[in-house]
Amino acid sequence: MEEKTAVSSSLKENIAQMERLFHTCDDIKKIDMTLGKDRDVACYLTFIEVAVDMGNSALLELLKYFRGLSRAEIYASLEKNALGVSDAMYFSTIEEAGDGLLTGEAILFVDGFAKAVKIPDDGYPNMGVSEADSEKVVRGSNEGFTDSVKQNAALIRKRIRSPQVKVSQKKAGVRSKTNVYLVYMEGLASEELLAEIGRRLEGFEIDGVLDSGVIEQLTEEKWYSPFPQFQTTERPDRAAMSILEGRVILLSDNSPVALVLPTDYNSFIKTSDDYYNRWEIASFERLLRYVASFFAMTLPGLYLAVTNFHTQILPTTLLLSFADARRGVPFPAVIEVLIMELSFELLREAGVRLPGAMGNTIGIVGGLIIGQAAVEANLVSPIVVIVISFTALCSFAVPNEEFATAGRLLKFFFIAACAWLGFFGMLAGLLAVFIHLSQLKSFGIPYLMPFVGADLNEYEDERDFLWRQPLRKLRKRPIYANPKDRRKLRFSDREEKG
Amino acid sequence: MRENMFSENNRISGRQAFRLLTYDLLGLSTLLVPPALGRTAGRDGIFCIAAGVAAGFLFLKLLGVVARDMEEAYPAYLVRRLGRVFGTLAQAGYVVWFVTLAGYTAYLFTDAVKKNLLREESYLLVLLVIVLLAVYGLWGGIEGRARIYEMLFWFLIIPLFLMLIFALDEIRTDYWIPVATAEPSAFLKGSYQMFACMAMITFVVFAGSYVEDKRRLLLAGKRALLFTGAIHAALYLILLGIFGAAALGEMDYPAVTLMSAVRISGGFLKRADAFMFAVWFFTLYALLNSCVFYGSVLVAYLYPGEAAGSSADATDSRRMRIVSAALLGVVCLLACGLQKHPLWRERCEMFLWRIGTPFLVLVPLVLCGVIFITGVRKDNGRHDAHASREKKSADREKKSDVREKKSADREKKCTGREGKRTAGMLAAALFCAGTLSGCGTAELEDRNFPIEIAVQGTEHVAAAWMNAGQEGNREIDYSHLKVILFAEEFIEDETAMQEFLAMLEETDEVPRNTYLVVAEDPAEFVGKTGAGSSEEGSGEPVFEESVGNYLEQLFENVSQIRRQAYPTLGMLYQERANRCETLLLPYISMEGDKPAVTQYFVWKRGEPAGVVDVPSALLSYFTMNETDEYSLTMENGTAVTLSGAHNQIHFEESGGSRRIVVKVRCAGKVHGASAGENGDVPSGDAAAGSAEREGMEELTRQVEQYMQQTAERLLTERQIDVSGSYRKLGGERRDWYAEYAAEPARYESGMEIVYQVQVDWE
Repeated sequence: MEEKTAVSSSLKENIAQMERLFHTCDDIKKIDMTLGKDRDVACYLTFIEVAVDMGNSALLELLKYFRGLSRAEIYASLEKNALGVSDAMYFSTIEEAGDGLLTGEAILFVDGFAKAVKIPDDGYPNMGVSEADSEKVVRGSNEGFTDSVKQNAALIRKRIRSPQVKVSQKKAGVRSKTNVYLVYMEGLASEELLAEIGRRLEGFEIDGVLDSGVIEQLTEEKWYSPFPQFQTTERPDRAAMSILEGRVILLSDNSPVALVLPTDYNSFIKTSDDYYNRWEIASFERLLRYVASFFAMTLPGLYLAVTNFHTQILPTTLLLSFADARRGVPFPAVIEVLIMELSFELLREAGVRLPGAMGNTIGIVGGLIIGQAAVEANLVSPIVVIVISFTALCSFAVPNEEFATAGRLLKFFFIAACAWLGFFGMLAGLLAVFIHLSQLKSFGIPYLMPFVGADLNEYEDERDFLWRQPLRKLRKRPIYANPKDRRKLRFSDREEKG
Repeated sequence: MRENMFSENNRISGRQAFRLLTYDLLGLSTLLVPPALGRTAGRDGIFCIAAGVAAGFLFLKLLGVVARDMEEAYPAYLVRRLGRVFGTLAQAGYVVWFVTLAGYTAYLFTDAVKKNLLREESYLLVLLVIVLLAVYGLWGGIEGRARIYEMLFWFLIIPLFLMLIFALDEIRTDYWIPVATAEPSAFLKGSYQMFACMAMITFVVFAGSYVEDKRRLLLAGKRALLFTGAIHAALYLILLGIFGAAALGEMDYPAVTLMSAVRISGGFLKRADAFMFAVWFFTLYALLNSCVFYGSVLVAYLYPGEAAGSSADATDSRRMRIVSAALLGVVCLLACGLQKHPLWRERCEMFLWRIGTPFLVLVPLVLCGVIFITGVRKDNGRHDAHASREKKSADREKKSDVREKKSADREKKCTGREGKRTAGMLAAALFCAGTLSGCGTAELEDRNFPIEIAVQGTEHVAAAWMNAGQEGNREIDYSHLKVILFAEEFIEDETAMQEFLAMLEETDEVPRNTYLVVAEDPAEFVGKTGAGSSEEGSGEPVFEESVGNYLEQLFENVSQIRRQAYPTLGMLYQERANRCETLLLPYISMEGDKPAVTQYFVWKRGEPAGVVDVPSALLSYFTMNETDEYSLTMENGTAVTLSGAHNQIHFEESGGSRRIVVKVRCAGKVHGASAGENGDVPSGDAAAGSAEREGMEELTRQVEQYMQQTAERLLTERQIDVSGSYRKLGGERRDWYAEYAAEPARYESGMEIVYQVQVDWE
């Protein structure tokens, strides 16, 4: 265990210790000053320049307050923690004071007082609340999470104003000391789940956690699986909804992406506005997304299986037009599909990396001009362009980016299997994926809930599954919630009868 | 955590047990039972299914007694109840049965894949892929397996139901009758065959230790039997109604063939057999997995290692993985042997059905006897001893906990290495498998898709067909063949035709739903496509579309005759065995610049029977209720159209002569002014009521006379029965059916035909 240095009552010693810790840190302001009516109390104020607003902040108020007090009154105020500043905190070791400084607060050492005082301020600069980039919805709030873990927690609290919403802070990263918040609803979230999350967070040591993705990868059970075992969201309303289902939200500082756990296949297909829209349209769209998630993985493979092995499936005219379209293409169908798929992935990657307007341009240039030119040059057939475009559309219809990525990777596996063994390859590939999914779980919840194990929650989860039943029928919380408190919707007697 | 979060507790739910058992029962039985019943009980197969399922229920009752008495896993229970020697012998017997059944299933699985999906591919490669998948699936334990089938259940069963519904349209209910004709021995044999497949319900006792509530497990067993029985009954009736009993008995996998024979309306999917094969892919995989899984559990009991004692732990252990991989190795070898040596196959089937099934029944029967005889007293004594053993083992377990924790830590460190090793092994196996494969077929544009073909010349047609693929630089893909045009000379040569049909059925390259037509010179119709009406300079006709497409459109969309009535290749295959239909193959000739049906060629009970004119053929279709409308012109020039026919065929015997009585009941319409002028049907309100009635009666009499004369002429002169009554004979007159079954050629010569027509004139 690392040895810690206690804060001394001698200001000089404390300054020396802080200098030792933060030498060659020119971004940190270190100010020697005197306080008190008679300017007879020496003190040392240190903070990160941009993180503390010296113009109009609690720190300025405190300094003004100290200037109006006598030496004895200053010590008395410090002893009683009567500084007139909320959330002021005392540290008894230099290391803790250093950590406090690095969270973006100001640290004050007063000569003759053997503790460091943390004075809260704005903290590090961040982007502020903006629209969520992914998970766009037609109906509902467009607020997205920010880089600040505190703001993110506040955005959740804004939506669930209940004292039962608990926020438990943990640190991750030996050197980065990133703040990680676990947000959950007391009584709804399972105690075992919370303990398991805590155990996993303590189960690794790493230099730095710069995004929630690092935590995700280090705490998931089957690291080799392409399927995400944590759900991610940039939407506070989605996070709040999950908390009400008895799930736990993991917020990491500097990351606008919250982790939702446990999760399952079905959760990745749902969107927030599934619950804001009427059930008929919500069900239709969800079904569409399920179909899309299937075809995003399998369509190019299916095309190869049908055209190379099982031509009897297609109507003759369609088959002949496929054959006509292929005439003159110099590559075998599998290479043609691979070329198109890789080109598409390349375009996507380029579009993401380029600045906004240029990204759009790349999409248009790639999709229209290069695609058309490739067809005209007989490098690929128009049918394959249609197949790949449709696959891409299907992939975009999957609301969760990580989950869609798994489909995009598996697509290549299916291409190989179908090019090799036709529909048998497709079935074998599907079976392999099903076996994998059936063995996968997220914090003890089978990944395929409620396709499997729906009886565990008396088949309630099947009401919100391939299709969503009317909201008034969804009266119980899903499997994640504490079994003793699953009821989430009640009607007055008259409504109930109606 | 484990208990509360539900997963990895080595337990399955009642619903999962039901679906698992249904999959186990459904796969192999739907492939084996229909042809077996077709061979033995024929039309009485449906009763054999009922009897087999009923016997299955009785067997399940027996197993229920055993399951309720079990407090431990079945293998351990066997030793407790039967003693070490007999218990171990029973365990060993089960292992042999499981391994043999797994080997047989693997063989059938691979064979079915090869025949239906990958004809050109290596048997070993397909088998290897299946075995690798089985290894991967088994490592997930019983829960992983149960979850797969629970999820896939309706995704497979709903399409299966849809396909069966699509197939309803093609059924000929005459093929279902007569019933109760099978010999008692054949009935018993058929019932036993069905029961032998249902006896796999024995899995419930093996699944006993994985389901919390025994009652739920038994209920799942009952539901699985009922569900499988219902599917079997529906499937058998459909197969029987489409293929006929005799043809069914000669087919390899009629249930799969059915999917290729069914014509899906709508036009997007032409055939769904490749998709529908998924049903057998997953069900056979389930059975293979179950056999190896329970076999591995038994082996783990027979040769207990360090982890023995608690079945759940043993199942999870690395040792179980090794055992199941080893068993799969044996299964793989057995499947290879079964493919190479037909004798092995026979012996394997003999072992499974004649030794295995009695063994499956005998063991629970003996156990029930032991329970009945020893009863509660000995049981208690054993329980006490068992309890004390359990206490000791609990103490031991407590001590071993510390050891286990250490070993778990060690294992954790090894997991990474092991994962890499496993992935490496799988990759290597797949790579090796890849070397067995041609890895690809001809590209789409490098294949020829003939739409129609001509068959002519009576010598070496089979050889010519086989060599056709080597002519030209493209592979020939017959999957879109619409029409086979036979030269009249060829189809009349019975030997050549039978040889040709046998060759086609064996190669199975041509779709069963290919239409058949006859022409004097079929070559003049083939390959003549283009936009003009004649080729420049040659004077030969050039059609706007291929003849195959033209005729398909004609038969399916334009003709008044039901498309199911047009003979297809599948019908000819069936007729080789069934020999009960009178099929009318359209005979085409050029009329102007288009091919038109100018005559019909009769294919009577699997043999050629010459050409008939169009009116006679149309009468035949009309009599058999195969056409929506039937138009004819009377001798006096009156044109009438008959529609909405509900014709019935009866058989009568009077004064030593036997009659086919055709009762025609339909609506009629008179065309043109000539009718009124001739006084046949007075038109308009001006006609007096009685005169009108008389006119109608006269016209009906003329229609009846026309039909009578036409039918009689064909029957007496050509021995062609336009009513196609032979296939209905069994349902109406069992005594005649039995008499003619031995000598069907005598049928037409000993019959008279009588038409009784009733027309409701508009």
